Amino acid sequence: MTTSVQEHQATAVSPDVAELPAHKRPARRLPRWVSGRRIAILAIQAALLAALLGLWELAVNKGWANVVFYSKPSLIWEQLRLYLTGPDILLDSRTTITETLLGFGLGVVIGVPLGLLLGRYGFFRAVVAPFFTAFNAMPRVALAPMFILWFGIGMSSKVYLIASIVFFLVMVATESGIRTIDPDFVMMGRAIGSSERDMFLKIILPGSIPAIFSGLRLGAVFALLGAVFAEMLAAESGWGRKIAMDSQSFQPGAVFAVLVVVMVFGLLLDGFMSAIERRLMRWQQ
Amino acid sequence: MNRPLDLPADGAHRTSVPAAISVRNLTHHFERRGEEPTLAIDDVSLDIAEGEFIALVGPSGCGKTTLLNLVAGLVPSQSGQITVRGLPVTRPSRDVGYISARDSLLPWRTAESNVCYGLEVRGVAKKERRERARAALDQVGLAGFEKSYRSQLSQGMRQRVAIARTLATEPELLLLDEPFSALDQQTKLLLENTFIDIWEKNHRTVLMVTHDIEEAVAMADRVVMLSHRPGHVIADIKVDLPRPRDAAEIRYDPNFREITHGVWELLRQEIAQLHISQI
Repeated sequence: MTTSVQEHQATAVSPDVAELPAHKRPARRLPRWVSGRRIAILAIQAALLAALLGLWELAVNKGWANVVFYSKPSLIWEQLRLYLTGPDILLDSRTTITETLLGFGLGVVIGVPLGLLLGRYGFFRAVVAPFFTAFNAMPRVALAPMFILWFGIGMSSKVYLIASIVFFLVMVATESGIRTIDPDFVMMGRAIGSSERDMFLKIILPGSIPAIFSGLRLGAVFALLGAVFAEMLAAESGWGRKIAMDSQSFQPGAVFAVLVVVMVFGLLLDGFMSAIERRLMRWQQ
Repeated sequence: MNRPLDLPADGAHRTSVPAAISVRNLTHHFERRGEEPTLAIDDVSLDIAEGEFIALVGPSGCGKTTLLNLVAGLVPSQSGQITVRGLPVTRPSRDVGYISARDSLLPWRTAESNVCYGLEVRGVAKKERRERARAALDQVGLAGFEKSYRSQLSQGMRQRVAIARTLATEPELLLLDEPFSALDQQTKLLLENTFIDIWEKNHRTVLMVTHDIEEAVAMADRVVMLSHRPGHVIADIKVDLPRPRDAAEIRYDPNFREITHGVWELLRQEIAQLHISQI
């Protein structure tokens, strides 16, 4: 903690150090993650996780909870190992990941431009906003059976369902990003003589990146959720289909095992999004 | 610039040299939804000669910033006429530089890239942009900070980048809205001096709004005072102090003290008529 405070002061507050060019500032002594605080946090997190899993295992072993309903960590681990080495994992993963990414991509490709138009043109917004609001008030997952009816039980029905969820999240985030841009930037842009195009591409769009990214990260979570949910209704393969089958055949251990797989992919997806976000917003650090 | 001038036919101003900035019978109302429009500027006329440095002062809320924004073309004018070098102002012009109290640096751009922005807008080639941006940053004493982001710069440095951004576009006229007001006293003096130095090299026309009377007298050739709202011109004081000036040194000059005292006295009388609720 103390080191990070000192660093902060060194770069931002203390004028004599701030006056030095970047290459002359004092170098950090240690990478930030090797601080005592960081190690303490990781240790406590590991202990908490172990305690939770241990309690679960214990509760089932002692008969406080029925293993048929709740399974237990050791069984889940066994099921996970089986699933990961079994014949279905490759096809299931390919199906769900493809649906998630395609649906997400399609939603972004539609949502960002629409959000830009909505944020930029008040007249357009006034005309279409009620339609979008009504569409959003409708729970899209309830439309999943219709998408399956229209586009079949293959991947395309999931891709379209996901896109319909993601585009709205991304559109709203983009619109609000554009509308909440610092008016000083717009004023400066006008005063310096920007063309409409420069104003949009060099001030408004980059200024909205943080807001757009919050929409993208939310969209990624919902894309995975949509894929798994729609697969549970009807699918030929995929993690959702596996969950539906295992729960219908009373195998909670197998259900949890698939959930672990889904969770790992969800974390990877979010980590990837954060990495892009950090890359685009280096200037914030 | 070679266009024939169509000056108003009132005959009062038959100057042969066109004023750099000419404001004729300008009246402006603030419009707020659901309320009667408030008269903000009341029949202001003002001529600024080419190369002249004018400071616009007045009690807070007197419409001096609005007047500046009207001249800049940032706010559409309602009645009266504003011409810059003989041409009526309808929107921001690329020949006019504008610097405000807030730096408005784009935080995702480095200092150099921020200074480049105005040049990008003008279609200057990349190599020349870079050279001009570096020269402008050097001029405001920020050589070595080209790659710093806004978050890595102090307030004074940010304002210097903002000044460099405007100077890099080489505007013919400069409109300044309290450019040094967000700074501490020392930084302010330093920046005032930097600005005076730059100005004395090229003598561009400057219209600077400020609430700081000492700053106005130290920097300008003429101090124009607006009344309390609705603003109209109540004094136009010539600052007969030698140049080149030093913003800090000149404050010891007896003439400086005398002029400042006179301007203060006028402002004091203007404020004395007001109740605190009117300010």
